[in-house]
Amino acid sequence: MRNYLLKRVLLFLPTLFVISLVVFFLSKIIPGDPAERLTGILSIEGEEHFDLGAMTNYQRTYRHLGLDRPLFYFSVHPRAREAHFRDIERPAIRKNIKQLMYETGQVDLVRSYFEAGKALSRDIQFQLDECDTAVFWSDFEHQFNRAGSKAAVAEITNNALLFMPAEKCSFHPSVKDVVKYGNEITSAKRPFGWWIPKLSWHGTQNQYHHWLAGIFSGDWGYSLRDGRSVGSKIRNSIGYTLSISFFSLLLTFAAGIPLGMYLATTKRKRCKELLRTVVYALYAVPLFWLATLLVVFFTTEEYGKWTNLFPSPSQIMLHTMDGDASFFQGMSYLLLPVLCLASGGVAFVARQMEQTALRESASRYIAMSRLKGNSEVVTIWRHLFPNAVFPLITLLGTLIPGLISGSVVIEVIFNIPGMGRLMWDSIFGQDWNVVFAILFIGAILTLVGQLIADILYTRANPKVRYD
Amino acid sequence: MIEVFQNRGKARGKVKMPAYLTMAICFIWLFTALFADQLANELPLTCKIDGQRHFPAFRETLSKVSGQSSPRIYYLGKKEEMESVVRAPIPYSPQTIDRANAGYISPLGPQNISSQRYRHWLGTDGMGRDVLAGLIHGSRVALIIGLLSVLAAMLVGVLFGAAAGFFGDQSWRLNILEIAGGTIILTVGLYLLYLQLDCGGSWLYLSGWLLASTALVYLWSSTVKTSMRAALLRLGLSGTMGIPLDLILLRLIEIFRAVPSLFILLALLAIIESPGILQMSLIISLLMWPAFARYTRAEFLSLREQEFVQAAQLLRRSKNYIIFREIMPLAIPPIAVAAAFGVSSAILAESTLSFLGIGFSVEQVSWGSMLNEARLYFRAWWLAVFPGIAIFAVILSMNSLGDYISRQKSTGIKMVD
Repeated sequence: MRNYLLKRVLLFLPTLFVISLVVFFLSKIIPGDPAERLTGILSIEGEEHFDLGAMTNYQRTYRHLGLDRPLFYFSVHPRAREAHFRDIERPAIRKNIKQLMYETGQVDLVRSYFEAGKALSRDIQFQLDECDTAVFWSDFEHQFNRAGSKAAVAEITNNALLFMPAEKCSFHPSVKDVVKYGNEITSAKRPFGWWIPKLSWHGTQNQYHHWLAGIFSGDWGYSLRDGRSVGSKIRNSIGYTLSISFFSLLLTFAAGIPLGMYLATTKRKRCKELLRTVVYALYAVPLFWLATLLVVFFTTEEYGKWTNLFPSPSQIMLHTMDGDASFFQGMSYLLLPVLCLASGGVAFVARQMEQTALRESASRYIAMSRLKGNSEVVTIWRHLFPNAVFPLITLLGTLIPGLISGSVVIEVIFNIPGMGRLMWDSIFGQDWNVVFAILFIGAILTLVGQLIADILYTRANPKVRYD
Repeated sequence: MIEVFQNRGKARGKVKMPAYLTMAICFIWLFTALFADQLANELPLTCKIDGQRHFPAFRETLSKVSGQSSPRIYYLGKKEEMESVVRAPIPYSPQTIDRANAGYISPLGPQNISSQRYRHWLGTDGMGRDVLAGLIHGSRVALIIGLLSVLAAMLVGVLFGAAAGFFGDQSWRLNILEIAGGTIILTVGLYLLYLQLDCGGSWLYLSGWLLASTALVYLWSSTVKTSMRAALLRLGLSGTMGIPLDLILLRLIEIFRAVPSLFILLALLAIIESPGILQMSLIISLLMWPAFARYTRAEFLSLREQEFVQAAQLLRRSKNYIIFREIMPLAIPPIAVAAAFGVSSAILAESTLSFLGIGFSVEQVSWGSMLNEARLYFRAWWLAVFPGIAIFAVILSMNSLGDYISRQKSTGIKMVD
């Protein structure tokens, strides 16, 4: 057993590693730019002309978030292009550089061309008024940022030669640079073997390493949306989720176990059939439909005064934010979500309980107990019940992660600011620090919960052994 | 939503739903899904234009099947010239906007219609779209999603689970050269694929390269097995290595369990902009295959120890024969049970996603997206009730179908014993 446990725990490590990779890279694939969101600049990609302040602000945020670092410890890429272009903030330019590198196969040349172009645009921006030049130069940056192919570069070079500014003009040297590199690019031939893979080692200065190191050192970072620390955000919302899950779990077992026992032992046929139908139906009811029905019919006065039994979901957020809700008020808010969450669980537990009880009641010790003259109550509750209920205990292990992570659907419908809702909002807000933290907690809890379930299972059923 | 599925198979109670009810629901579902265009359509079933007979509703179905452009716009333009028109039972398409009845018209109250023929039997939504038409066309979406995603998940899950259950960690042994060659070919294939994508190549290349490299691996392994065996023995390179299929499968299942399905769904849905029915089913099946793999693996684990398998092994039957001809037939009933529950959980997943507003694009009407609208306007109880009943009925019938198969299965096994 001890060996088995050790092996399981050791196997957690590669699993957690793969999960961290999956989560990290999935979040990187999702389109959208956190720096863009944080600075409030809309669509860096589409628009060319920003005011300088906004752009500098964006660049600073971009670097501050570490987005200029490579993603992973190493990368494999064809020889024709660089390992990554993350030091360039604007996605459109990144794409152009990559395209040009693929077309020419000259990594350094393309880089110098872009450096020259950048320098020239800066020079133009600051010194356009000094000398009398063509319109082309005022529009240069715009054109340059779109140069993603040899043909485009050739056109820019031709135009630059055509509208070459006078020698005295301060940006004349930069223009010469651009023309020089541009000519080289247009005449460059992609060398053979451009596709040969090359391994670049980035060391620990990469995004994945920083993220992982942060998690292990307990620094979960800050929310990208409101700047609060991730820990405090989770602490704020975990209370709601915990109380809802606790009460619904309590209700699930408190109602499901007696119901299952009743179904298994009762002799009243009509009642049994009816209850079974209800349980069966309850088991198939979609959670979100039940919740919607309850919200639609029982939280407003639309259908008469008496149907307004529960507070409407929009109030919940308000009251909980103020923190002035009394205990009973709070309970009344939780009632509907708890009922919804428990409904499916009750049906599941009742069915499971009924099944195990029926199976156990066919065994010999029950017959023996009856033969001894024990009363039916003693037979059922002293002998049958403990044996029948034990398999259900193993369920608890698998329920642990759900306790913390909560139900997104329920929290979204009832407007509860719990963990599920936090996760939902954070994914949509691309608040990756928060998402990562929740996912990581959830993953660890799931793994631990499964282990606990396995251990409980061996305790419940000594016949099962892990060797 | 997917997690529910993991526990479904366990809770097989003795509770029965009447078989006729299950059958009735299934038949109605199939019927509305197949003939949605004829049951609820703005275009007439048949009409005469310039003395010629046309069948617009049927042509619409035909255009959907063959992938041509819809004749809808053409016929809507000819509305005035139609003669001797026979309309569909519900003369509305799900996307028809009836401006006169916009703004949540109740099915019970007065409606702004010319005759009872045009009544909105289940009311309208905020834009004036007919709820019943939406329900009918939504049944088609639900059917396709349920079947496609379960089929895709079964294909992957059953094959992987069968291999893992049958071979375990050690008994699928490959020659070292075979493994080395296969690894190199696969790596090269993946690199070329990456190159294609990085250059801006199309996704068509992806499948091409994957297929090519798989074929190469297969060729390599068969070459090693047949023509090079003698040479290998002489060189002393006949060592083999067990492929830990079972270990890999269990880790994969663990990973899929530990990452919340919502995150995977959201990530994939964000990458694929405005997913269609096919993409949606593939995404859902990605989350469902571990369940199939688990069931199949468990079934194979217990069956491979049985005497008939040992007998087949003694008879030197090939492994393919033992897996597919000896064990698989006995493993089919539990897989069928899982499939029935899988259909219901796929539909549940899709409707939950649409309900949360992250599923299909707005034009695609599904039961979940109709329920979503009920949250906007509480007075419209018909939007909350009817689509929900549809989902509920379908899930109920699929569950009881699963129960039914599982009862058949237990009797079947008894006969074998």
